[in-house]
Amino acid sequence: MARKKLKLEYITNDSARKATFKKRKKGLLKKLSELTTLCAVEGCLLIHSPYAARTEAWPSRSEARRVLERNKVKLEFITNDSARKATFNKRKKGLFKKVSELTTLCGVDACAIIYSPYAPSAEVWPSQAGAHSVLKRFKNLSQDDQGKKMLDQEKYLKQRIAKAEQLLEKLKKNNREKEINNIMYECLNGTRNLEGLNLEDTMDLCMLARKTSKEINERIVSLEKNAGDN
Amino acid sequence: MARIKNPSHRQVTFSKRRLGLFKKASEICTLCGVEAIIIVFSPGQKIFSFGYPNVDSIVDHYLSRNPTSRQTSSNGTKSEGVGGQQSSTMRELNLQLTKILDLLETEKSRGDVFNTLKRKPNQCWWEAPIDKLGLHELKILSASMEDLKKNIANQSNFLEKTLSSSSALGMNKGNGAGVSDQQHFDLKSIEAKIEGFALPDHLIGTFHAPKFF
Repeated sequence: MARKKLKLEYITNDSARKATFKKRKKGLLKKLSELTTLCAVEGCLLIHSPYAARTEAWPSRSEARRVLERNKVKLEFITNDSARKATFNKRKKGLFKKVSELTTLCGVDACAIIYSPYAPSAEVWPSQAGAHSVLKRFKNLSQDDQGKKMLDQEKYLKQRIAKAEQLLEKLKKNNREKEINNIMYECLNGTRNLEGLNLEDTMDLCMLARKTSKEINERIVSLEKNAGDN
Repeated sequence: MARIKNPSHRQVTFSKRRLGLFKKASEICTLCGVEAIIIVFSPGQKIFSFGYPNVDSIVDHYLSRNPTSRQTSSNGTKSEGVGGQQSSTMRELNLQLTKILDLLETEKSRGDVFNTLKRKPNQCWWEAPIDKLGLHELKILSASMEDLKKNIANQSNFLEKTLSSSSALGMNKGNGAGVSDQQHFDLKSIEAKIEGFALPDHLIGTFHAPKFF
């Protein structure tokens, strides 16, 4: 059975494109699953598409996170000289690329300057002239304006730490809510025994049960009222 | 890759990418012991800058048209600044950041576990959101909830008694009566919370009783 030859270009027809996406995504997942099983390796697939609100991850979000974590570089000085030099060259290239993308996408001006032992003088993006013009603009601003959003690494790291701590608190709270919610349903299912719970869990469960019960009863009243009105 | 037309998309992209850029700059300075600055104007013409060791020293050095790298000072001796490991402050901060990011990952994974625990709606209809349930189902659920609340109340009374009796045994010397009062008070404070009263600051800590077992 001859298959119509695939034209490797963007599919302009919206529904055809969506259908192809769904089919090929399924196939890709199947292949990934086979690869990891046959060769006993770890892998994950992440897809960011207009067909889903969030980035989709396989085999699961946590699995994908784990796989990506393995490649994580430790945030400390690379003691091996050649590894350090190689990392520097790669990252410098990446950094300049990112600055370039930022300026293009957002239509703004920027410059980057790097001093390293690997070059006799400063390495600059976009160019000596381009950097000069940005720096002149920078210097022409008042000290106040210059300093307002200025970060040195210490300040930057402290900011990131503070943000992460905030996010952690929020996540812990959310997870706690999910946990107690889960416990409540397990109690209703009969799959969990109340006696096993400690005081803190019992108290939180008590609060959730009262809150949920109240919502249910309010809903009942509202439905009965509507039925009565009709 | 072209300029983003929609101004709010553009602004959002700018904010996200600026943060990513500063992150990469910070990383390259830490990993490779180099000095760098990034200066960028926002779509609203605000100026953002990042620098290690700091923006001003590098800008001044660069503008002074000094052709030599910062590795050698004017008298030709090699300065310690560039190419070496950062200060202990920086090391500690990076370590702290790594730790908290790891904690964040752990907590995210915990959250994922709860999401995967979601059971199929046709098996457990009572776990569906309340506004999706019919009147008959709600009444059944309401009755189950009443049972549950009774059981919970019994359980917490039992726990209270256990705690206050162990404190009466002198486990919390001189504080016995205080502790059991605290348990009763906690249930009241829970009730108050549910009725929507704001819990005064000095009571917030009392919600979590000490664990004796």
